[in-house]
Amino acid sequence: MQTLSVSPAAGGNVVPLLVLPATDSRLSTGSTSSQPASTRNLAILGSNPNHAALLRLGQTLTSLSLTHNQLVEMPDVIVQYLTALEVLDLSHNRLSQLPNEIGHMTHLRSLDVSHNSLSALPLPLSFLKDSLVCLNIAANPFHDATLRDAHPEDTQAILNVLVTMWQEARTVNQIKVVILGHGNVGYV
Amino acid sequence: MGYRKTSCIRALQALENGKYTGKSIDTPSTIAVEICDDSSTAIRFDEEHITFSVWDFAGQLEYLTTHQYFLSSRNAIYVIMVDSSAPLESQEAQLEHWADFLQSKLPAASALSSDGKRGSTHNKYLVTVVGTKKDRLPSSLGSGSNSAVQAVRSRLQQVLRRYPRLPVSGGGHHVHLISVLDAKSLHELRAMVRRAARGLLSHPDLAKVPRYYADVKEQLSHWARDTDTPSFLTLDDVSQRLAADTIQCDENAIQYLHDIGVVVYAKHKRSLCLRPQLLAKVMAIFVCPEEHLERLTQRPAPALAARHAIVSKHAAKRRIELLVSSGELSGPEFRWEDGDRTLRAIMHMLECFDMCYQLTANEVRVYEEPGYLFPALRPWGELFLLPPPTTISASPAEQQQQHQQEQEASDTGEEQLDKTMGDDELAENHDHDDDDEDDMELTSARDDDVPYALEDKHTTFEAQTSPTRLTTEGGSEAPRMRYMGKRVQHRTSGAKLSNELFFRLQVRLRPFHDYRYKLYANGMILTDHGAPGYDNAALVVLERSGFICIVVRGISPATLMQHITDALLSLEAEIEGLATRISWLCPTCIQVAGNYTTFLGCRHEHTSKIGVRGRNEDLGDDADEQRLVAADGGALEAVLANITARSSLSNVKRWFLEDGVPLDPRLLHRNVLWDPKAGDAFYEDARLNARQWQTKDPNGWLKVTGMDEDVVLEFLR
Repeated sequence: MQTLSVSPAAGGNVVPLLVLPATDSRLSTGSTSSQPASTRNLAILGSNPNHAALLRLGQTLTSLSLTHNQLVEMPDVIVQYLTALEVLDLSHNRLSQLPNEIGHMTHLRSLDVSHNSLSALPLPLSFLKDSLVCLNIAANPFHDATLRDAHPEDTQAILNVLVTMWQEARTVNQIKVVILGHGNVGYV
Repeated sequence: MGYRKTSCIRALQALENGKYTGKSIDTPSTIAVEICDDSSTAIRFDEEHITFSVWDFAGQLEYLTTHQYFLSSRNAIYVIMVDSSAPLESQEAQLEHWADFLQSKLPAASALSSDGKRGSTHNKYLVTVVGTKKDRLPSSLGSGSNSAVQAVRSRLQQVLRRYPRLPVSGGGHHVHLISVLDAKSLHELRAMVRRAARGLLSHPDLAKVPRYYADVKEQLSHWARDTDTPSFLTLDDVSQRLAADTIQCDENAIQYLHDIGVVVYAKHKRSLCLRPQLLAKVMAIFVCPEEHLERLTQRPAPALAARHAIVSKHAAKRRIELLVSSGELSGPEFRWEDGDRTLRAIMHMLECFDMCYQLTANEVRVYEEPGYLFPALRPWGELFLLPPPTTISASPAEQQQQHQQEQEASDTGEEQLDKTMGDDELAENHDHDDDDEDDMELTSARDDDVPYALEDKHTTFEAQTSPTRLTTEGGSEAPRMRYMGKRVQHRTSGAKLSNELFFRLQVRLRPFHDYRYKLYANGMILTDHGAPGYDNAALVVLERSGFICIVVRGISPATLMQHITDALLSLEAEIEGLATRISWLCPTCIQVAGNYTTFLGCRHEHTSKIGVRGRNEDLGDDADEQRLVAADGGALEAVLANITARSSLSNVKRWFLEDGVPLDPRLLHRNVLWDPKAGDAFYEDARLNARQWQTKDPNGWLKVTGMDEDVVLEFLR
């Protein structure tokens, strides 16, 4: 099992920086500087063209902590590659939404999104009803009253709310078809 | 006339309504974007009650800047129509044009979906390619035979393979050829779109939405029909209005409605337009080609004097009045008695979509009347002149010294690095799964020549490195360097830090390359959500040791600047002792260089006047480099914070004008060689001079930029 924590050291304001080694799947974290943190630093991982290394990483990494990082969005690499994650801690960031794909991280047992700016939870999170044992959504400005009222650490209650919402969800079968083409080519 | 891609849409509709006659239908060319989503015109592809809103994008180049606001990254099918009666080369060019556009604007396809290693995500939008005029394939391919169809098809498929990041439906194996005269082919097209739509909607993430999304959708559609609701609202407005009906609303819902085509949402301004068609028309009235203007206004309209990309307030008002009088627009803005109020509302809407910005008081002094700057109206294909070598690059003596340093450095692996960055090797590393650790960062480039012209520039900033501080690290830096692979590991020469920084910057900024560009050893070209020549682009040039020049231009350079700043920040975090420094060039020059091509003769003078937050720094002076190293870190943070805060086009004007010297028109005349009174004649002169300079001394370019010769020639073309 592999654990990775990218968070500020005690008392320091540290940039989360994932450095992907070329040779093996061990992860190290680079962090210095007092510059404000941003998602870009994490995106290094995402922009790396070496999918093989990411895949290897995704198969082995089971725990990731990105707490206290001022993230405004969940890095794409997490849902795209780190599919073996069992523990994901995104607390104390500035996330305004979670991607729907989080509902497909079927190995996830613990998810902490407390102290963020979430106005809603993705409904597909309800797919994890049977696997997720620990969910913390405290201190988020949810629009939905039932989510606000639910005990923020009562995983089953929250998931039940989501399941209900999923059942109530509407199907909007609308597709935008965009036609592109050179307008100035025609029969002459 | 008679054929437009719109004809195909009409033919499809006729097919739906049972009015298909087997004849080509005459249609006028599309203005900007035409949206057919009401039930009478919509193409119903459905047995399953899928609603299609069909957005017909005009093909004229003028509209490329407006199309970007109407794209969606989910629940969307993009149909690229290629005129298959044209020669194969032309078909290829057409397809490339649109594929480039889409690829640069939309998120990449799920990286692993094709090899099946990841089943959890799938594409949220699809691209399909359709060849039209199947009945008139080029005669050189054999008349109407199957082999001709095959030839066209395989050529287009071949092109598609060069766009691995586009999620092409059917994996790019199916390129449909249709003809409006052939009902069967139209049926096939319809079936294909249906199939694609079903594929997209089979994914629960795309089809099922929280209940309140549907409520918001219904309410917003209702507002759009209600002619008393303003067309343009902020997210807060919407939330408040909806709260009155006890409907909850958040940004996710609005973004979803944008994606399925109910509203148009400007995310960074948290503002939306309820009536997409209206927005398209208002945008079109300012940027459309002449032949569309009359149809749009239904009466002759005076041409915009848009040579400066400035539309005077008076002219803007005229245009909007013409549009209003055409009577096709709903929305209360167009019924207001007060023309100025209408103008303000409309222009504010356009500003929110980064389409234009209002001139500041300073700019008004220059252009002699109030107005709006439309970056989209800037002339195309402008030449862009770097300062001549004498004013910017190192003196010959310094160059020689630098050359010697390079020679020395090559002993310690320097040359190896440079080779690493050469095109040949890059071209070989197409395979993303390359496990060779040394080449890990280099697999990103494709060897593909792309014509590229940096047509104008908005703003420039420079990153300056502090060479002296890295030397103290010495070999202790090895673990950190692993990121770059072995070849970099050996490099400890502080004097060449900027080379390394440059190299790393390229890697870091790679997401903003079009994959088709080479990663040049020097002269990196970046694009940010923009097709070449149409949107944001930056040229990153390593001018000399310790000095990287980044020129950013485009409709909203701030976004790209933000990315570059972020990349530099992360590099600072990674390379101990590195301090980047960003300073602005003279706003006066930039302003004019934006419209014309002149940057000559004023750069140093003005740079020193502006500096960073009023600091006097002559970036060409080594003594100053030392001083910069010693400078307090607070200033740097202030600058970076400053840049971060300026994150949209409407703030660009502040870079230009409010941040530095007050804009004095006389200064412009003297230093920037621009005389507004001289008009076009001067403009032509400037072009002529530029050409002469090129022909006289193409080597000057090579010296200045250190770029590959073919890149330089591409720029100069």
